[in-house]
Amino acid sequence: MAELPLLQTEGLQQKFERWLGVVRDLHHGFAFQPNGTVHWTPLRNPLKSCRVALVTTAGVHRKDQLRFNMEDPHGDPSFRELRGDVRCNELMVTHDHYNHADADRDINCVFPIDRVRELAAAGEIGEVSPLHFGMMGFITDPAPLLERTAPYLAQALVAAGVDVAVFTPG
Amino acid sequence: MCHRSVGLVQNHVESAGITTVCVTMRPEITFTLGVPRAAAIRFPLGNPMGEAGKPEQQRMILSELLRVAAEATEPGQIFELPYRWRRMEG
Repeated sequence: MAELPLLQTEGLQQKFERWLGVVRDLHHGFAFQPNGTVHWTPLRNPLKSCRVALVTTAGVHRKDQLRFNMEDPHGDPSFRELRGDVRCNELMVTHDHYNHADADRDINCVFPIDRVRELAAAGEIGEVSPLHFGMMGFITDPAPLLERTAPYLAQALVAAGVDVAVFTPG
Repeated sequence: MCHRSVGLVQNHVESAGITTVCVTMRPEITFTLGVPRAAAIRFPLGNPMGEAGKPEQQRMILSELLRVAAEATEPGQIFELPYRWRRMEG
């Protein structure tokens, strides 16, 4: 495979400011706090021996799990645990802030669990994690996300022996 | 806002000792937030892994994300995936 180029970052700051202006018009008091320290855990093992998990904020959950709350103006910082053997037809999307018509037809557009299984079967990765997470990313107040959800997810993924976590927004 | 939430949780999971990577359709948010590793893709919201019913495309994107997880060399790097959204043209 050819080398991937780094993204040109020129103009991104201005684009970000425009986005932030729009969001603040819609949600007064919206606070955007960058990650102060960007952490770094280099991969310890080759991919072919790694256990891979998915974490999505695209509003994915099992049909028999509680739907995400789209009524709260502060959003919903909760999460849904998804087992590694979950079937795609057991999953659905609750998220009103992006067009999930494609994900409704094929959940792999946002939660590529079948693709992770295929890469494991092909030997490109070691194995599928027994645990994955679905969240709904419309969360205006990051405090509960940072204080409760993120620490729980991190601990649970470590306990599940995950080497690599792939994150997908909606 | 999904991108902001993804990046906050991603950084936390990385801090716990797991290698993480995110795909982003809104690199201006990912860039300003700062995440361990990311790959930008010029796809619409709702299609971070590609089109419905296109398993080969989705698998290729996932492979590229895993390659970024393995090969990025410093925190904050955002790589550009070479895909363009074609569905509207066809």
